Amino acid sequence: MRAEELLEEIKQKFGEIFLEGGLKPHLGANPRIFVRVSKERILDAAKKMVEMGYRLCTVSCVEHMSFFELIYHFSLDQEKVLANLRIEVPKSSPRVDSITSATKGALFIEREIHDLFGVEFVGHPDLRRLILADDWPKEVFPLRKG
Amino acid sequence: MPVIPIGPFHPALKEPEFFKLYVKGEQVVGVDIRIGWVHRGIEKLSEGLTFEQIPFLVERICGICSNVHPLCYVQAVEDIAQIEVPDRARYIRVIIAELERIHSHLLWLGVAGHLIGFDTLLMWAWKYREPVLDLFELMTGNRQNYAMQAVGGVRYDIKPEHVPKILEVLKTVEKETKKAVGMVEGDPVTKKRLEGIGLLTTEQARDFCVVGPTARGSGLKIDVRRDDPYAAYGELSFDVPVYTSGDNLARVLVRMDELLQSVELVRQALDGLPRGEIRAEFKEVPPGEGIGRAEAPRGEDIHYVKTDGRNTPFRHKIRAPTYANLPALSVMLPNYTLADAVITLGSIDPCFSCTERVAVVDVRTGKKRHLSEEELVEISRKHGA
Repeated sequence: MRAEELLEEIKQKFGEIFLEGGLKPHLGANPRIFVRVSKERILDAAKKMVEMGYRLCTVSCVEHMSFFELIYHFSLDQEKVLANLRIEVPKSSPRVDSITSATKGALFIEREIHDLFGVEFVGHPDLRRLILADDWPKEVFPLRKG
Repeated sequence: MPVIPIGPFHPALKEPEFFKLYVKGEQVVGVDIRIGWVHRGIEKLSEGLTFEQIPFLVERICGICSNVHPLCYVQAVEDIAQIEVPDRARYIRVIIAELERIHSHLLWLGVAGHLIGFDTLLMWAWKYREPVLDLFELMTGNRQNYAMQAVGGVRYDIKPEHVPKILEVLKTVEKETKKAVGMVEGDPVTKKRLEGIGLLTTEQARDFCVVGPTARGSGLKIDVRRDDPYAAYGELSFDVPVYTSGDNLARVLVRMDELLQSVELVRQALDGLPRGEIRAEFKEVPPGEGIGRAEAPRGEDIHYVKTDGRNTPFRHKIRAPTYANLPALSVMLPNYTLADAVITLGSIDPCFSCTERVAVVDVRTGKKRHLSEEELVEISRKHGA
């Protein structure tokens, strides 16, 4: 099946960046690819995805007890496959490399996550407030659960 | 450098948004977009509602494409709970989604005509949009926010007596759209206002990750209906119209082609409409995660839902198509005249309620540096805006 081949291709291309990966059934279409990658190498991973022809759809941030889970949704449209890269960013130091140098599509997405969750994207050219008002108190992040 | 501020609350704007256009004479040389006045915290609200309540919430994200958000959401949940949607419901989803595309594109066509001073097109396109809304009222009781989607299927059936009425409206829309194509392509003034303006190259479109008609007008052949078949799209035949010129005219023509395509899709779906149930039962949603994608009239819409076994989502992330398309305006607006800025803005068919936030691209051609609010004020004062 095509999704399996593409997962294998990602594994080959990623090398040590690839931590684990698998397929998740999706009704009516190709299974979704989920891959966990090392947080330090997310920029490399994003660059490789763009090289392989993937398009960044969006990034979802999910808060857990001790870390933020960032899920980068990449679509390879002509192959009808959605590949999701997962990283974990510790809450104690919520910093991760920006992938804006790999794709401009991440410009607004990263600023939004910065606003709502307080994750800092290192290397973002313009990490100003996006959603929150300019007089919103610092260190208060509306989507954090507490 | 003179700055022309428009908004955030302005008699000419339908939604609160703020554009700062930097001009040199007639020429736009930079743009700063600031949005966030309609942020309603929908993602957070969603975490407090049950899976069956959420379609009604996300339906209210957008007043135009109000079907596509619930559609994406229910697909994400169906993915988690592995709910098999009945065939009839899958076809009804196509019919509703395509009728929505028809009325949304007709609305947009009218607005585009209005923006370039072609008000006849506005009157005319909206005249033929009205019967489509009447169809929704007939089928669901509402002209907008039709409350059609539910986890596991749809809430209302299409009755046999509705079919001839739908077909009749489709016939009118088809005939009038063909006329409109002639009006746009055959009118030298209209063509001149659109051709070669607001250029977005294929390379730029790919880099900015734009979606929908904006991407297809720049030569990117992407369409979620084909690339991640949902509802009954996998069983219907249709083309993905693509134009390579990347200008405003290309984006108009893509939507015109899609209008005709949608008419054809509704006919196919009505023709092949299977009999049977319209909604599958489901008991509970297990812990897991799911992604729902659908092609909204403006492009790819995507919902990510994570569950933890309770009756509400643990996280519900929404990305509307305008959110993906807006950043590209930073390369589409500069180097054209101020008069063209409005139609270029309109050409991505922006929906700020969907985007519900977004903001700020400050690109000044030549220097391309990013400025802070204070710097901007400083500059505008110094140069006597």
